[in-house]
Amino acid sequence: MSHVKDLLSPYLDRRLSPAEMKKVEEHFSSCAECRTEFEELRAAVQKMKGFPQASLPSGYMARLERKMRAEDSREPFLTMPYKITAFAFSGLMIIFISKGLLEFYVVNRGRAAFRSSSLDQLASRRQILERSIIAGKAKPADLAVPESQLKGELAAGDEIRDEVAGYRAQKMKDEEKLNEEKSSFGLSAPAAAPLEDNPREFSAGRKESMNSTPQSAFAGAAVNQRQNVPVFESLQVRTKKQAPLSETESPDEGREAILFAKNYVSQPGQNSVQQKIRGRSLDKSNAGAMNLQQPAPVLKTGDAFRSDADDKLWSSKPLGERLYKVQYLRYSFEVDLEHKKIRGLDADSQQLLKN
Amino acid sequence: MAYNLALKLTGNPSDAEDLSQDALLRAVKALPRFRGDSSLSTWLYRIVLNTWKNRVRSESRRGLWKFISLDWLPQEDEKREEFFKSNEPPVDHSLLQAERFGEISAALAKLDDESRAVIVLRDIEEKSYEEISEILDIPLGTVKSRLARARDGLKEMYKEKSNEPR
Repeated sequence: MSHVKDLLSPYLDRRLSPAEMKKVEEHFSSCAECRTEFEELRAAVQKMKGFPQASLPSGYMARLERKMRAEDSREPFLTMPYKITAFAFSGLMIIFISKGLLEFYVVNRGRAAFRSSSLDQLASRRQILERSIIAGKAKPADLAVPESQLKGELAAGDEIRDEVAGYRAQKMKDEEKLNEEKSSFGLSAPAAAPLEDNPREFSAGRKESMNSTPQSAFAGAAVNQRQNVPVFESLQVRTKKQAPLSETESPDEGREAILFAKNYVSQPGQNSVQQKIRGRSLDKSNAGAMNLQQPAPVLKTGDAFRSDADDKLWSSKPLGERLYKVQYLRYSFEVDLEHKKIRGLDADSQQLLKN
Repeated sequence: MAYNLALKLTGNPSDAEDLSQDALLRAVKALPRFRGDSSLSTWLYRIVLNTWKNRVRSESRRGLWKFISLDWLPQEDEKREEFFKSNEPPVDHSLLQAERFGEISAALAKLDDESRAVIVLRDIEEKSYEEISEILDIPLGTVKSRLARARDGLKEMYKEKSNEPR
């Protein structure tokens, strides 16, 4: 008689076919062993059914809520494409940094090695020379830097100096040319930038070769229109960087132009324009008419020649070949020295002469 | 439900809380993917069981898995009663329940994971074979054989216990 031990578990759950169920029941009636097995099995299963239902521990829901909130805030910081990019970027950075560090290390090691070997050589050579001097086989002068080495350094230095000088000369020439062009177009020279910082030193050095003066801003006298008082008499502003002198510019001619203009406005036929002008200015002390015969004061190269040394209300500015613009306060005249005449008056001056 | 199932599977409240909460978080995340092929209850059982299996696997891989100790159970009777207090059904025998819990948990702890899962689902949770098949994602025949084997082990365990000299 075969036992039905394999069918006991499904028989307990009534998961057998009716035929199998009947077979097991019939077997139980004749087999005490299988019946006992079944009873033991049922008892064990019955014990399981007695598992008590536990209540939730206190604070369970609060902790669950906290976990949920934490989970929400732990949303992926970077999405996948950004993660890949960031990873690749960090990889590249690591490669570059390591490469840089390696190169730095190699180069420095090389330099250090070179430096130490050179120093060693020099030191040993010096020691040999010193011994030779003591032994009377060499002179102390031999300790000096070898002549050939010195020559090499000097040659290199000369080369650099020549190059710099050439560059400076070229730059100066260019600027002079530019100023010339601007002067011929009646433009004021810009406060261009020559290499020298000190115009006085610079022009003193070039005094012999260039009969001209440094450029300054046009020395017109600004006037406070409301009070009609000159705010500043002459703009002898010496900028740190001044343009080199124009070839057409001459201190004598500038002076001549000012004197010509002064003479022109002082002529009796002109009804003393200067008197009229002066009448509008509160500054009367500097407004005295000048005589053409009065010897022109010696103007030093480097001075702001445009302004008359004695009467700083007057100033001149070259416009072309022996052609100057002369300014007195806010009135200006174009003085043609070649033809000895006043060529143009600005609107203010014309108005003044009419009156 | 999730907590009680987890308690049966893990055998201690602290692990049960962790397991059930992890499973609930997973369920909340997976809820939009729930297609309604099975009942929501079966679906949740499945999530708890899968979470538990993953934990057991990773812990045994790390060699941390150990037999469940029942030392966590409060030693004083009052506290044990407190632990098993539940609103439904009205509990008058908390101490008895605590003893029963200790006994069953000790027996379950001696079973292997597969057997424990199938015993918990069939004999404690009283799930049908079909539901167990769905929850554990195994064929019906496997459910039958696995259950028979697990019950046999359980029966032998109790038999040995009853033969032990008192």
